[in-house]
Amino acid sequence: MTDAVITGLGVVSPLGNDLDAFWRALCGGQSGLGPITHFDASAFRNNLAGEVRGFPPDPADAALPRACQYALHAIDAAWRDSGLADGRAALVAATNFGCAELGQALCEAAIRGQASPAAAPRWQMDWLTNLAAERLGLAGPRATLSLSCASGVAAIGVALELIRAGRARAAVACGYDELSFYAYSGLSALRAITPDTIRPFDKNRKGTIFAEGAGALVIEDRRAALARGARIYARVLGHAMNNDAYHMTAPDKTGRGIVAVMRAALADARIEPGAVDHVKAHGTGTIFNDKTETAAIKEVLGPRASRVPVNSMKSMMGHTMGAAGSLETIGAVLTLRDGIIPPTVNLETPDPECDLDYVPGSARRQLVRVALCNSYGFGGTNAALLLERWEP
Amino acid sequence: MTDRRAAITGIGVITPIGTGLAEFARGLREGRSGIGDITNFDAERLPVRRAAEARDFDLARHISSMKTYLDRASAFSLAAASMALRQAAWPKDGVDAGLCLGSAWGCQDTIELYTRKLVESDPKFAPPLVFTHSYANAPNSLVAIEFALRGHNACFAGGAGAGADALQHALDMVRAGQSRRLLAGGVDVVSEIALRAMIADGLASVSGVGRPFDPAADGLVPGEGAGLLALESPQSAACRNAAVLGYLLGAGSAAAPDPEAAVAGAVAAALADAGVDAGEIGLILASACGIPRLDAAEAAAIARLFPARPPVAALKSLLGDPLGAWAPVAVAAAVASAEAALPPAACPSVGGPPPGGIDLLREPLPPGARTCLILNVAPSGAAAAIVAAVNAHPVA
Repeated sequence: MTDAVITGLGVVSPLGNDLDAFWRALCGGQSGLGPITHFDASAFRNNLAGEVRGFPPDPADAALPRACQYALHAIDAAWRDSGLADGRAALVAATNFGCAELGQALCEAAIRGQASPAAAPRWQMDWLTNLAAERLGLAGPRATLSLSCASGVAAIGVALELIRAGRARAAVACGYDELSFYAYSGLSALRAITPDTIRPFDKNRKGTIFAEGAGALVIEDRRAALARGARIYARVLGHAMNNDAYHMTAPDKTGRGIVAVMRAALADARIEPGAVDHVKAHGTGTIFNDKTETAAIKEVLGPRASRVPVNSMKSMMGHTMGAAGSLETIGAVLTLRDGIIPPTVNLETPDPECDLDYVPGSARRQLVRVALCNSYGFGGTNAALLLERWEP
Repeated sequence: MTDRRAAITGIGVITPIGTGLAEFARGLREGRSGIGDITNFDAERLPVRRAAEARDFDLARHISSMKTYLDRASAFSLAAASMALRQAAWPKDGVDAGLCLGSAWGCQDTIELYTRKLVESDPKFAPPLVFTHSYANAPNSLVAIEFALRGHNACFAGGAGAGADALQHALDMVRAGQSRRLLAGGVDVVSEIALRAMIADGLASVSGVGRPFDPAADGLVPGEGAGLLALESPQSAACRNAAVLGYLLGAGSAAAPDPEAAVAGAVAAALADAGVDAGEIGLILASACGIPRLDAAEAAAIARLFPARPPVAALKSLLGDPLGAWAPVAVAAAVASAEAALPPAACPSVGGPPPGGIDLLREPLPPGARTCLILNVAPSGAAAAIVAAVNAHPVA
């Protein structure tokens, strides 16, 4: 089977908009959370979120929806980081809510019988995909995905399949989302949001904190990357995507779907559970996710799960929705490169049902060879990805 | 050499000219037009008031479970899945079947409804149920839940090629052995929000007459529908003696600022992927939707790449443009053409001078097994092509 590697990374996040700043903040256990400024959140359970700051860096993009600005910046940064100049590359973009603010404006115009905003065509989710590909001059396959909060990892999976199938030798995979009144109101109504702060795996956790951003990765055929002398961050070993087929919003408390998706990713990667020595958890800080995910990790990894460090980067940057799988996978890629595991912060009171090693408080120096990245979303969508440290 | 095909053992279609493969085939044979005044919402205020709607659709005929709320796109998806699964009759043997669904617009009616609740009442009491049904992957999840599809799951969201993307991805997953059984296809519905965006983009036809390949056409007539194909490896179908309606042989996609180059790139990729020569193609189901610049580019690419001049059908004259549902619905039309003659009415009279170098279907196409090419050209400049072989096989 075709072997794929990661050769470019780009981030826009509450922890910074360049890769080094993002990685320093993660390793330093910093918080990217603050009061919401994009919209009036006074009606909701919490006013705390992870907003992107310093946008747009290019004033020419100021008229674009924020979600598009984030995605374009991350995609461009990853592409430049990779040093690629292959006009046949594929582009896969994935988002949970897309340009939600624009969508709301279009709907309000319809409800009030007013003229549509001129930007209305940008509301279709492939608009960004096409714009980003045109800016890079890409003629290869394009795909737009939406798999709720598993979108980011799903984009990497679909990009990997395009390379495996020989449809492209390189692909950019980007997950993105903007914080919007539309999405925040719904997530608040679903009681997914904590009234205090995000505390993944803590006994007193009460929910998640939402955030925004974009993460982009350049995935490339290993031989092609080697042939052009590319700098390689990590290998992509395998992935899987499935559905709980259980309920639209409630997690399946048996964890059946997430156990299956981790096992399917291991099978796809052709490695044994014993090879996994780090898990980048979905770790949202909701009561059910964290205990169900913990139990599922234990079921998949067996007795040695207690010795495998597990972290939740959402504890620092919040839940960046469609960007979460991308930004957190980038964190895991840098863990493999540098041998540093970012911590789970705000984990103060242990929960007997969450009894793994969550790297609480501060980052840990530890060589990691194989990392498992988990991402889940509403609608029962699950995705898992396996990465390996690059040893030239 | 390994078998690179995916067998089609079930088809569920909802179209403005008939729901279910047999009724859709009858609609094609009779040359029914699905285009009429918009009834899904009040279009009085909009400059575009005609569309192709699936008016006879009734979810209760397809599933028995009660639903508190469903977007029309979710209802279409559930019904199409139900029909495809019933025909495929996959055994209950513990194999987790998967789902790849594509949609250009997803659940816009529900996004609008949820926005209405936000505008008209205190956002603190926003209805969570409506919100969850507004997700782009809501139809995908509802189908997975209804039919216990616990296997590979992907949702392509955006672009008139979303259904073609879903078929290509599903074919790759079946070939790689990642999925033994997959439902794959697409869905889209006529909604005010999507229509407003298409109007703002200058894509939708004010005249409301489907005129593919007509240089004087004024845009696409919005359509709706769903198509889901039950796909499995040929070995899997053979082992259980399943009736095979046809095969997906290959797929390809490409993009370019020049749509003719995009179509040519997609066709070349799909033919190579299928291991089929251009001369083997016996029917082309064109994407032509009434946007003259796209239709002319498509015709030019077909004329250049297919010197043997296989017949070209332009079904969007009857169906409107079903957007994300187009590619799977076109596969269903190809399957139908194997069983009963595809009449010239499937491509009604063309208003302007016909494009040179291609042979639009003007005589009934005799039934029979053949290799078909399905094209999907999106206004964005992204193009996709699917190669399918259809068997002479009862469709009812």
